[in-house]
Amino acid sequence: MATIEKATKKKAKKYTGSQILQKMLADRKMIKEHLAKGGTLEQLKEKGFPFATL
Amino acid sequence: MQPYKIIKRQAFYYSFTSKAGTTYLCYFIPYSYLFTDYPLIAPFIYAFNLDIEKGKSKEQPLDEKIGITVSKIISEYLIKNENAVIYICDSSDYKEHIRKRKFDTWFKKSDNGLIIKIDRKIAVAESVLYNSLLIHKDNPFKNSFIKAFIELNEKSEDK
Repeated sequence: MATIEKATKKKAKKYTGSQILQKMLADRKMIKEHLAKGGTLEQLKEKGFPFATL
Repeated sequence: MQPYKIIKRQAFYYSFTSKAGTTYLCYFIPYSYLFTDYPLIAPFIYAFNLDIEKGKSKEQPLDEKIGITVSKIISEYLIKNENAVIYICDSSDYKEHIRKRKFDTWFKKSDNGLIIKIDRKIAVAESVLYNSLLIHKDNPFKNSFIKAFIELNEKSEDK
């Protein structure tokens, strides 16, 4: 039960507009740095980064 | 003018190589978990990113085909999917206004009336986050996306 409540609380987290945009921007910077070091998007995907999938 | 040859590497993940030998990556990232206030449209909200995989952008001469190719990728993505795309201009090097101008120019040159673009900006700390919503004009959730995007910028605490 505790796990379900915790999951529900996490799911209901609210973000402000600037938090959303800054999160997107932070991800962008992280990916850019990863690519600059010779990394690939495939590697990030394997690590669990939520790239789009069909 | 024709776009560069677009390679689809994976779903929603494309690349192309310019005449100067620079390889660009174009990809879409799902952000449904950030839009909890909008459960109906959240699964359809993506961010668009453009990055360089190989080569240096600073050495790139003015190449109109890059913008044409990027516009084609976004346009086809929005035609094939009922998604909305948010684009944020990177501000880490304080060149966000240059990126915005370039992105605006690309969109204007390839504007065929199918894609709606809405621009907003918010101030965060010492920088400005220019962000745009891109959506197909016939998207069934068009009004909901636009409302959410406008609220996203209005809700900013740092504005």
